[in-house]
Amino acid sequence: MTISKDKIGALIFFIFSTCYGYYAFQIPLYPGEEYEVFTSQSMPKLYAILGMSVAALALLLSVIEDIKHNKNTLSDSNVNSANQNGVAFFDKKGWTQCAALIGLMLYYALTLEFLGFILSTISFLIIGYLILGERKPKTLFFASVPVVIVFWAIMTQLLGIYLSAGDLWS
Amino acid sequence: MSEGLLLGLETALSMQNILFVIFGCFVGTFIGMLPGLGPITAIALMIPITYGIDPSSGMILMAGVYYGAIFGGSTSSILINAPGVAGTVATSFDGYPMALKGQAGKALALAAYSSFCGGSIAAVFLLIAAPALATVSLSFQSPDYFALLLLGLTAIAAFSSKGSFLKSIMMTLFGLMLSTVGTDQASGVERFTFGQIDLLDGISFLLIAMSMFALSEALMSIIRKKKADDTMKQATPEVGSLKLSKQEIKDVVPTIGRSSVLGFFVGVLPGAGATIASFLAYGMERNLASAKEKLNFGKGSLRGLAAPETANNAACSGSFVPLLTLGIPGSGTTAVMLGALMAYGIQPGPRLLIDNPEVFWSVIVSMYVGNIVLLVINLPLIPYIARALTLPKQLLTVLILFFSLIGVYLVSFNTFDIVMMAGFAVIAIGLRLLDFSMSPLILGFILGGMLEQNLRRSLTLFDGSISFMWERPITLTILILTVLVLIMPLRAALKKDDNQGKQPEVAEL
Repeated sequence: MTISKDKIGALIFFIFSTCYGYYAFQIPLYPGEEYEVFTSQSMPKLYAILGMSVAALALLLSVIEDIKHNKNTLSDSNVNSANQNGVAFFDKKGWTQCAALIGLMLYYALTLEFLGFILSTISFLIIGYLILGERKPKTLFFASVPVVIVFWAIMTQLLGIYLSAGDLWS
Repeated sequence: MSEGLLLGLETALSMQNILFVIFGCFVGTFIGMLPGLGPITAIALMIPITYGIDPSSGMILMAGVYYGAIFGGSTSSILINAPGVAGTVATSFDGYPMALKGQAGKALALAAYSSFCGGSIAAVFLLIAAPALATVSLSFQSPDYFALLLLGLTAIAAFSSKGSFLKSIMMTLFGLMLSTVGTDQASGVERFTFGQIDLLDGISFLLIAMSMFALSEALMSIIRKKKADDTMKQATPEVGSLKLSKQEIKDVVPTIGRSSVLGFFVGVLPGAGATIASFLAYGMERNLASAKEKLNFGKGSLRGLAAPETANNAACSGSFVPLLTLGIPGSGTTAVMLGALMAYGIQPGPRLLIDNPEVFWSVIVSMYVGNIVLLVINLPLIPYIARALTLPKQLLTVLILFFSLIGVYLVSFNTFDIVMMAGFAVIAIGLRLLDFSMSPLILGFILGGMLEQNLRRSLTLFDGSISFMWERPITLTILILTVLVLIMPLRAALKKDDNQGKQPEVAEL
């Protein structure tokens, strides 16, 4: 049996729906609410059941498809379709950069209120550019510092929106 | 109607709103032109800005961004064969061959004229259809709305690309599940908050839209080795003359007329939208062409370019009909707009015409203004805007990340939202890699609350019985339609021989 994107997707969704369904039953009800037709649990339970059914159907269809396919073709042509369908299509360097940028977002969340908007954003932008391969100091400077200062000025001075000055300095 | 039209003109033609349309069209064109980024991203990035202005101006700005993004998508389709949005894939069939022949200017001009005509003709239809439908829909009650919402949710899955019907249904359900997070509005009970105070209000729609579209599209563009990137590096596109001869104009006028009507009606259907409209129009035009002309399709036919361009813009206007009159979005883009309107405290639907006529009419009028702006200002500037394609991608990607994060933060002032965005971006990337489409998710997420409310209300009205489903003729009719819409692709899914239908690697509409 081959592992295709369709099957992985359906399986993950099935597991997710099951967990969701489990927690749907844990939603607290007010005393007496259990006798009502419609409660806070109703829709979540319905979604969980539908989610599990659709995922199971998708999974079943993929397996049937597979069996049919196996009957029709020789086993040696049965290449792992995950590879065929494009994982190889993606760039390894791109993955690392993407993971680093996600890490950078978490860094931004942590530092935004601690270092203050200006410092935190300038560092976010510069590190981001560096991750994506920009090395010229001039570009790094001009694409970060003026952008942040102008943005800060528009927000705080023009629109009167408060942006954190940084807990570290206060 | 004339009173409303005057009100719309007054609102849309105020200096401030004209500036918003111009700004929106520019930003939209710019973002739409970048391969991988579509109108949903463009609109989502605008939402934080619109919170500071009044609702009609906000909607006008977003409508401008929408057209701009579609137009920008056409530009990159024609110049570098890299459609920025799914709705302009068909444009590249004949637009790019024209550019290769050195007629890029002509192709761009024709695309702009066709978009203008398609958009304008459809706006006239909208002007007639929307108020009429809004009047009819005033008689709708909760059961009818419940049925309509179901229809909207199933239709977007049914019209999804071949072989991905079940995946779209899964995504719709995922969106519905996410919509149940937070305090239940009716009973006040906490659901799926896991003790997190930050989740008590639920997940904000802006957060979902930004992370599922803007963030994940930007990040995917890094992961995905796109041939477009190489093309972008080599090509500083030569635009050339923008002129069309009289004969050429004469040739495409009937095409534009036909495609406008087709595009509008396809756009009105929930879930269909610009992509399907553009392919249908292209197919129709090829079928209608003479044997000799047929040979020219795919090699730079003017009719082959005009048809999808007209239809996608007409469909954009068409998709506003269900949004403005029923409050039910027909596409991912209009779903995001619905979310934005709800954030203003405005409930689109039949009451919109009565409660906020200025919003209703100004959106319609701004469509004309937007189309004129695209034609008069954007077209001559295209050679300059096209340089956006040569901007360093590393800078743009990081800036898009920054604007997405700060956009959400500026609404909630809660850094937990940024962490959640990173989490949802990871989920979205996983889903995109598994060929799941994001539009059904956002639609499910936005409509989830309304679906639950209307079902609850219907059950209360009918003493807890589900008889409302067959006792009200309107409800019954819509439900039958829903079942039909659901059964047809499901049968196809069960019968299909090849379920490897892949999503286009372009932004959704």
